[in-house]
Amino acid sequence: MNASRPMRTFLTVVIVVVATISVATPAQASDAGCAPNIGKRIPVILVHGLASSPTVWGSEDNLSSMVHALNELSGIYVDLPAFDYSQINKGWVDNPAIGPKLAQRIACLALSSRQAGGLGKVVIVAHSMGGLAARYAGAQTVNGRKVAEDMGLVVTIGTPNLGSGWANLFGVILSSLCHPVTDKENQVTVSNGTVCAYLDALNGLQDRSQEIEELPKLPSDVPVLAIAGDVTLTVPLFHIQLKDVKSDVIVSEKSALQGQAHQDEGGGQMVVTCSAAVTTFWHANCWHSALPHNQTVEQATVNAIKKYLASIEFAPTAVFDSYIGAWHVHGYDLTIKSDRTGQDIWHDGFSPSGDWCNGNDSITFTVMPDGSLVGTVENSWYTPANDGCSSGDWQPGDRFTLVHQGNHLLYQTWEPPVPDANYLCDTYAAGQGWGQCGA
Amino acid sequence: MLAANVKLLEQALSSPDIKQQAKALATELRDNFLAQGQPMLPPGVSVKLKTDTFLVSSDGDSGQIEATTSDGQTYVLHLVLENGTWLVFYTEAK
Repeated sequence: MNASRPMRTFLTVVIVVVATISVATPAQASDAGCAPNIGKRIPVILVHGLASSPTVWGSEDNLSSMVHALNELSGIYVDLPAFDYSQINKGWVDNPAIGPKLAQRIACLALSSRQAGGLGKVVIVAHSMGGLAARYAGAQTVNGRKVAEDMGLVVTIGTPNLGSGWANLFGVILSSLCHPVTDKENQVTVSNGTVCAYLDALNGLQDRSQEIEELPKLPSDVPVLAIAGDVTLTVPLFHIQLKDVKSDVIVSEKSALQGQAHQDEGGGQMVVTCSAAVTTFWHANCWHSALPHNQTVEQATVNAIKKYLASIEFAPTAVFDSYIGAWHVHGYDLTIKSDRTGQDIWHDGFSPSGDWCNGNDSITFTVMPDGSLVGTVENSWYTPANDGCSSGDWQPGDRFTLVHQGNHLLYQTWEPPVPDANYLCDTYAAGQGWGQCGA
Repeated sequence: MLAANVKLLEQALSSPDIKQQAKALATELRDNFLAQGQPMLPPGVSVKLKTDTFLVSSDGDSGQIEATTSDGQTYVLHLVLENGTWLVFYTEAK
């Protein structure tokens, strides 16, 4: 063990000096203020649908709104004002103001969370096309980090996951409302704009069916609660009343329920039902536009987040996932694998014959309640073998602790205590030549 | 509305057979209609469309027309254009 300590101490001194005089990159600087008071709370971002606005989520002083319901929940940080792309009425999710901007916001909130010692996972609550925007964002990379890694629970509400989710009949109903056969103004006002705004939006989405089908799905390890509305429409036909079901008028139940995953972590699926006459469906509290302020939907969202928070507490998979990967500092490499094992290797001077000696450890990992990761040395050996390299640096049972330091750095301390400690860089930071990564 | 379309609707709606009646309905409704098993109009009641009341929406996808039944009722039929044929998607008693 003693053979490597002087080198580690030297490296640490160099690193600390470099780190002290280095200036944060612009990306780091701009990320720092995203949610300055977040603490260890889990950030929650609200994403409205197309032809809608953040007002669909209500406000804190509206006791029946989603915002109020979420603010009543402890342990979360509701990102307000809610994500807003209302100025883009007919855009697709690849519009810079929609998917890419959402990806930036998720990454920013996750970074703020990690910097404050939190988990760094963001809960996303999305209505309609907001859920498609989340799928787009999940496939992006921000500052060298996959946004998918920052995603916690995702709640989709009436999201048309299967492309054109609306039945022809309802298109006709909307069309007949918005393109009346008489000169009489027939625009129907609903709680959030007009029915006809939805017709325009859904025409847009229908045109995008192929792109929706080609959108990347959310990563399989992300828990997803998929909520669908099911309006039982009464269709009068002379002497009978026909019942038509299985959609929220705009999005079919099947389409909205796609993608649900990980029931044990708050995911799953839910159908909210209600009834209305075909000629007045906009009075139904489970039709597409009404879903974000439907009290059953609000309660289901709150319950899902509670379950997600509980799953984080008792099943620290998400915490561990944030450490998976390759980490590096000058002369030292650490690999953490998804099966909670890993290996490190460090340069440790020369053998008598002049070859580099490398120390190697096989390691197992345990997530701690404070979000740190403890590595325990299971085996230690030197390479090349039989070349006179010294041995006995680390011993089975020796431990080190890793904690996140921002988006791309870990801080490593060893047990038994040694005077030195390392910053470890991910591949992005190492590639950028950050000072903490050493020479 | 073409005369053939008028004839199709009148004959289908006036039929005592629900399978024939279903032919007058928007495709989206047919399965539900057949499953519930009840005719829209009692056997023996016939339908006559008033072609001079036919109106088409500004986008051309939907329309409406008045109809009278042999039992003395007047209805507005709300129509959808599917593959060039106007079909019923709901009715309103007038």
